[in-house]
Amino acid sequence: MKEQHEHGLECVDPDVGARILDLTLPIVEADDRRLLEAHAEVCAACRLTLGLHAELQTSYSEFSATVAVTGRRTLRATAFAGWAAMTALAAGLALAMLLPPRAVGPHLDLRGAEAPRILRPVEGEVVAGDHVTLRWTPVPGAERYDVRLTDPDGGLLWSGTTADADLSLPVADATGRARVLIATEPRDLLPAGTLNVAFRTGDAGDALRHRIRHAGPLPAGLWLGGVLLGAFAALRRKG
Amino acid sequence: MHDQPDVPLACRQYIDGDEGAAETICAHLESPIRTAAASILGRSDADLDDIVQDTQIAMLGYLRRSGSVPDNPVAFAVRIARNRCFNLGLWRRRRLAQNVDDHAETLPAIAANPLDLLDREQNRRIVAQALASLDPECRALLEAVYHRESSMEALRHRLGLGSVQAVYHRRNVCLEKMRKRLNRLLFDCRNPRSKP
Repeated sequence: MKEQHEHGLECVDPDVGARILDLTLPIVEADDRRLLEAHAEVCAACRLTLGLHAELQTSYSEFSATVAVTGRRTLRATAFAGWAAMTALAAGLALAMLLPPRAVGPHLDLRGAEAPRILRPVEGEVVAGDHVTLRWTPVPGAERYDVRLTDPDGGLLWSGTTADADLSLPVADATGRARVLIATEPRDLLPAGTLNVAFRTGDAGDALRHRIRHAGPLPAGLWLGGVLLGAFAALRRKG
Repeated sequence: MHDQPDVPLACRQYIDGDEGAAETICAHLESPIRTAAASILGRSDADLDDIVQDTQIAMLGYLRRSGSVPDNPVAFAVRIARNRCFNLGLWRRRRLAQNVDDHAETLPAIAANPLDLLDREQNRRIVAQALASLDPECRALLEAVYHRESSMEALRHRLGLGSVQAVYHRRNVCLEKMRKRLNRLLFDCRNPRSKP
């Protein structure tokens, strides 16, 4: 069978068909009744209307029960979508706070993903507070690390030494942009400047904005999912 | 589509008792009916001839029963044939889901209500779907009419309408909306739910 016409059943004579439900009235003129009955016999569209009237008359409660169940299911689906949207948005925010943001800056191509590298802060990150935890991948053979904090012009703000691969870095003197350079002892384990990262200092609001704006793929994915679910819930509620 | 000028005349003559006019009517209707049915079923469909013949007979029956000539007899007959094809499609789809041997190799009656071509469960499901898709006002009105069986006079009061006829009119409008939704659910191939 070929594809069916998109409109389906069509009244054979719409002027007469518009009055087909007059057949359900208690009193109808004999001529009208004759015309309408003859029309209904050849018009499947009008028989569908009359059939519908008869179905509703005899079994409305059956249909309305199904409608009510469908309605409850729709409400449950909408509520679930709304709840899932809120959860996804909150989880995305929590992960954005817990996970490092994406690295941003003009020289990302120089900062490879291979070890050795600085793990936190990431390139371009905005940090808040007087101290920031500096972490990097250990360099095999290194007895200690010399850490230097400088301003963008290279002026020394702080320097220190540690045998571990992390350090609580005092950043109170850094206003705005700063850079950390780490050198190993012995010196010849790494080419000079391999371990360095540029970041910015700011207040808690700046740090939060940066983390949201440059969130990693996982929080961003959760936010996108949350927005889509929220839009779905809103449309279902409206509809 | 333009009628041949003598088709309405032949219809009138047939209504007035001229049996010979039936041949003229059928001769003029055959080609457009066949073309319309073939566009739905395909030219090689085994039931095409039966559809054409059933439609011609239905047309003649209508003329005698109603005593009225449609404004455009050819368009009228073509619509009968198209609807008949859609009903046949519905019938075949149901038969596909059942044992073919349980059914005689006949077409559904031309006067069949499309809802009767479904089984009870399909019927209930599809009517409920159409009801659920109505706007809340229409659903409330149909519930008042069919479920709570409120009197038309009480409904007229509640709706603040001037006459009982206006209540009937609103009910009819809502039923028509529901029929259109059913039409889509039953026959629109783009609708994934259209296969009951």
